Amino acid sequence: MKSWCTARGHRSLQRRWVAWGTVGALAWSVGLSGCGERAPVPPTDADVLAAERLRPARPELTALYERSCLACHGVRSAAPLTGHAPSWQARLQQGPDVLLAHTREGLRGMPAMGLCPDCSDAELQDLITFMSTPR
Amino acid sequence: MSRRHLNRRQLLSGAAALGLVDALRGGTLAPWLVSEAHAQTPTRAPAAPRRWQNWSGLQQATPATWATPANEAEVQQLLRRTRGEVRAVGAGHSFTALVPTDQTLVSLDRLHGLVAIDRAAMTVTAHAGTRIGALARALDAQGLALRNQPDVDVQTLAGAIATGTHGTGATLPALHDEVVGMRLVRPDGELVEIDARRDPELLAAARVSLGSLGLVTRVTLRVVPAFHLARHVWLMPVEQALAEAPELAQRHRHFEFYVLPFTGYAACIRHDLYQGADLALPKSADEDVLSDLKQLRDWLGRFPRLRRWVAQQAIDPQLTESARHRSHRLLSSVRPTRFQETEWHVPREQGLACLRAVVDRLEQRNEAFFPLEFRFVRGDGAWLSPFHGRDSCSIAVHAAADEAWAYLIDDFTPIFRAHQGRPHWGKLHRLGAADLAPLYPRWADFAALRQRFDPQGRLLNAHLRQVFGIT
Repeated sequence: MKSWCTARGHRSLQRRWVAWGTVGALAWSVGLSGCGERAPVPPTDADVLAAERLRPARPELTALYERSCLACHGVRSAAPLTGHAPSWQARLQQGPDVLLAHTREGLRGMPAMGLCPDCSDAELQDLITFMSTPR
Repeated sequence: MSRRHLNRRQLLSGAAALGLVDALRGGTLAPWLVSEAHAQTPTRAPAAPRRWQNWSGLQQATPATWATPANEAEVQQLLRRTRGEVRAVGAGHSFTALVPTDQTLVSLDRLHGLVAIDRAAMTVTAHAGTRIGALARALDAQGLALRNQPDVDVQTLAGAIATGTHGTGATLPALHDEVVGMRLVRPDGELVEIDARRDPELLAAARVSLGSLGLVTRVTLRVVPAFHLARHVWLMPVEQALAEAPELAQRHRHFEFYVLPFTGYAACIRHDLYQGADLALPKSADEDVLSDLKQLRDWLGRFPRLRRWVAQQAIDPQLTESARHRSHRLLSSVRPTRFQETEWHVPREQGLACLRAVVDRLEQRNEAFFPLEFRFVRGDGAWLSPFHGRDSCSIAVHAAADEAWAYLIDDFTPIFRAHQGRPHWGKLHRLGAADLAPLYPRWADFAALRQRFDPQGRLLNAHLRQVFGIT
């Protein structure tokens, strides 16, 4: 499919649609899918494979990470990748309390408690810190 | 026309698939449940009642007790010392109300990891709370792999097999068919070890149990040597996809396709064994595809003919996507967009006819935009397997999690039933025992076994009482 972020970015299509107001205008401008670059700097294959091997220093935290967070944050997915700074930048700017709240309550694809029903707030915070620390 | 890279199944599956479990704060391992070995570990659970919800947000509950036992002995103690209803939760990816209980909810998250590998038998034993993705990674480190994987891999082993979770592949069975042994704790606290050689009938019953026989603590399943796959995603007109699907399914190790509603196109995905060294794992475009389909719906949903025409102009049929890597990195994906889903399994020979009827019905609903998923699954012998005794095609219909979804049941149940469909146990349906019994030749046998394992019905919540016809 032609991507509709092809020329001017994803949002530009809507502007064109409104401005031109004709069906014909869509014929060359619309595209479905394929864009894939909404994150500022998507992780490379090397980033993903490196993230898969990252573990917290503390064994007890490693155990929680491996059975919970790694499923989404240690693989190629829409979740911010462990150790990949660009993926975390905007989230970190919201502050640790917001990140913790989102983890506890869930947000979009993020399940409440991040697949760790027995995690304490301190453990969740430590896991967030580990994942968001650039490597 | 330049070829662009598309991304695979993601196209949505909405997949999501699936998901997770949602646990909201705190486990609830009651103090008396904490073994000496774990007594020194930090408190693993706040005691206050907390809400549970499934991945899609549709199912919710506030259990009085939320237990997170750390080992098999604690599971036994839990069942012996508690009274009343008990339900186990895995990743919470079931859309049906298999989990909700206001009494005791048991998370097996702490029963995690490999127990043993038998390279001679090519089997592994894992704790039942091990997530499929984690299991796959642990196997990969040992040069092993699962023969096939479902679309979503955060599910726990116990949850996945209990619901008949599956991937795609005309010659590949669902995950539960790989199970050759398991240990489960009955509601009375007795540990039962089931082995395929010693008691194949009991294992055939226990493979897909909806969590109604006991709490599964360990699973032993067949594995294969680790392998690479090459994925190729491409577009075809829907009619062409339907015409070629049987041959494609026969020719490729894994084949599936997604009908993109109101576009006239289908996205086809195939995976085949790969021996090359030029590995690549590009970012999936699924979410972007989904977003674009939604946008097209938002703009032109009221004008279906125009919507289709625009899609036809916009879609570049030359677009492809490819990836080459370890099987576990390609067969499963993470679904960030939440949705509701129904999926039914119909006899292989009725699959395409059923799909046509489903597409026709779906495209009468202008609000629909999620791709419709069509997969192939080999038959097996588990008593409550939706693939019992017949090779099948699986047809899944999705709706956004924050939009109306009842039509997934109301519109499509009659179509699927007309094609002898059996619903996925974890995906939306309203069938009860009277509907289900005729679909499963071993239904009565399972009912008798369930009564023997759980005479008090402690493992039955409201949904399972409806499924099993118990008042």
